[in-house]
Amino acid sequence: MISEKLGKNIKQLIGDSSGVMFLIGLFLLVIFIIMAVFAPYIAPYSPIKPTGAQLLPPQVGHIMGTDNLGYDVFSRVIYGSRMAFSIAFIATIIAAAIGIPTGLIVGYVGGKLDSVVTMIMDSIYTFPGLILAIAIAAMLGQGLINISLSIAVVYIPTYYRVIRSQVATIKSELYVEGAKAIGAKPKTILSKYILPNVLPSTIVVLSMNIADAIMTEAGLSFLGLGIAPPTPDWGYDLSKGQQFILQNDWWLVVFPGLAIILIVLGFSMFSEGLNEYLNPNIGEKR
Amino acid sequence: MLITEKLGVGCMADNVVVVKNLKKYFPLKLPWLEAFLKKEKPMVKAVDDLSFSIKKGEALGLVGESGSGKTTVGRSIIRLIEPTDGKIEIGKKNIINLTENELRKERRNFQIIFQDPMASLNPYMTIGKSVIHPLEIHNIGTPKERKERVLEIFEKVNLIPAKEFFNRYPKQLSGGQRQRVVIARAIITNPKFIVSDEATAMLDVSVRSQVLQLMLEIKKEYDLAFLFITHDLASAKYICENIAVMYLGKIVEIAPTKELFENPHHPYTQILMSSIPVPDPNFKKKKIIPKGEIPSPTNMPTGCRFRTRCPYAKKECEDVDMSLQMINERHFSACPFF
Repeated sequence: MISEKLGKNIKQLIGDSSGVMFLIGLFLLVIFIIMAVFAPYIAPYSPIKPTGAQLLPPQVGHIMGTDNLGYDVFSRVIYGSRMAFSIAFIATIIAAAIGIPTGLIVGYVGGKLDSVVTMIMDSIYTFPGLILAIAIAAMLGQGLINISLSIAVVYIPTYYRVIRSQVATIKSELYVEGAKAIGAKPKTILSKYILPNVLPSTIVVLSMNIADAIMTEAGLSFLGLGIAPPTPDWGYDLSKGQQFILQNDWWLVVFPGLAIILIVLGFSMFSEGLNEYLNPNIGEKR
Repeated sequence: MLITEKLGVGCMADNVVVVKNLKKYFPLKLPWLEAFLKKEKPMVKAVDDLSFSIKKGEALGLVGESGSGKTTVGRSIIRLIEPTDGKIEIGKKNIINLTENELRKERRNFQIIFQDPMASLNPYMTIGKSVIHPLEIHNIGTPKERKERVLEIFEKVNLIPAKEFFNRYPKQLSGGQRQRVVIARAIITNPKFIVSDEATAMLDVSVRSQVLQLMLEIKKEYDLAFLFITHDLASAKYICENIAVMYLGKIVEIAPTKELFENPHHPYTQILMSSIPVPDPNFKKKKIIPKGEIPSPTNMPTGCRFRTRCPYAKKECEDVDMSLQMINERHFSACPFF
């Protein structure tokens, strides 16, 4: 029964290009998730111990070569996915946990509260994301939670804006008026009538933001504001690798860079496909 | 005020709904400079000084063309929008003075059925949950009793098999079935009064008569007071004991249905009556066609509001006030000349 349903859905998905995109994205994500979860089993070496000669080019035994300290690049790329995922997820969850309720309440109440909060959120939104994150990260210092927090602040306005604008339209829907007419409290109207109707678009924003958050995190680490070395992290590895690019030690930059590109691509394609799937009306509106 | 008292002569005790001098003005949005300079803000008088009453087990039809303010009346009576002024009593309770909390509790006694049944149901709630929700809100019965009551009501509104319908989503139903769900939700708390806001306007003709029939049944069974808002005189005739005709925020004529159809007094009512098609190809009737369009409510004509379109308009109409004149004990009209 379930497999039949799944099969039907996959068939439906492959029917158009967005479906293919969704599947490729999903495939990439699954690979990265497996990498993160089973890192100790996949990685041939420890990522924080010298395992061979320094700056070895890719070869048997070190398929992605080694870096200037003799760490195995392949193992560091594998373990790096853990850091990327955890920071991206924590940041996105914090951002959603603050942005979604704020958007819901402010959008529903409207009026002066709406203009004030929207002005604050818009002023945060207009900052270039990375620069704002740098400023906050510089204030908070290194560490997993601090970096997640500084990334979260950047993405709160995204949630706020999406939710608020949706709530503003949905609150004038007839079924919300109907809920008022049967005597529902504002709290009930928000949780039972408005939230379920804005949730699909939230899920899409969520997966898009994870992709963005991974990039921002890589950017912060690249600038030395991320995780303290030698914890494996793609952004940090990238910045270390670029010091050796003039010596033609390309493998130090290419592999962590490729990992960042692929994971971001995976999330973007996945979320775009999800968007088409969850909001079938979007295609018609365009 | 005098009129409503007259309307309820002898049987005041039966009145479930009493509306006196109901007004709903919407402020007009102006560019800020203009708004700052003008002392008196212009208002759209959507509902202007309306009075009527509805008895237990009776339906009052509120008919009028679009823009006459009939929907605004329906919504302000149950305070879905706040009326500007006036008195509203539903089941002896003054609705206007209630606080938000008291009003929420009181809402089990009056319900509304909207025009678009798809839009009035939450697409992410099964219809069972939609209908059970009023009982949960007002804390009526145990969860088991609630479900039984919903199934019972589903059978009453002909959503059979009820158990199967319970778990369906609105998009899986037809238009008529959705409106039955909305009706089920409206009657589940045993209200005294229901506003039906063009409830059958969006249904196709074959379904419309079934839904009308259903409304008639529940009205009888629960002894409901009904405010039946419509632009379709034929449906109003089918359901209502009395009909009030609205034009630009005012009631121009109010009378028992039979009387209104047989002996329309106000020129506007006569025009409405002459617009009803007669199912007889050989029947030639005199059609009275009004001049022009309904005037903008921001720029209302002085005196009688209908005079700009009235085929019988004369000079005196410019400074006549539109208060209702008694034709006979239960028939009132706002035209003093006709």
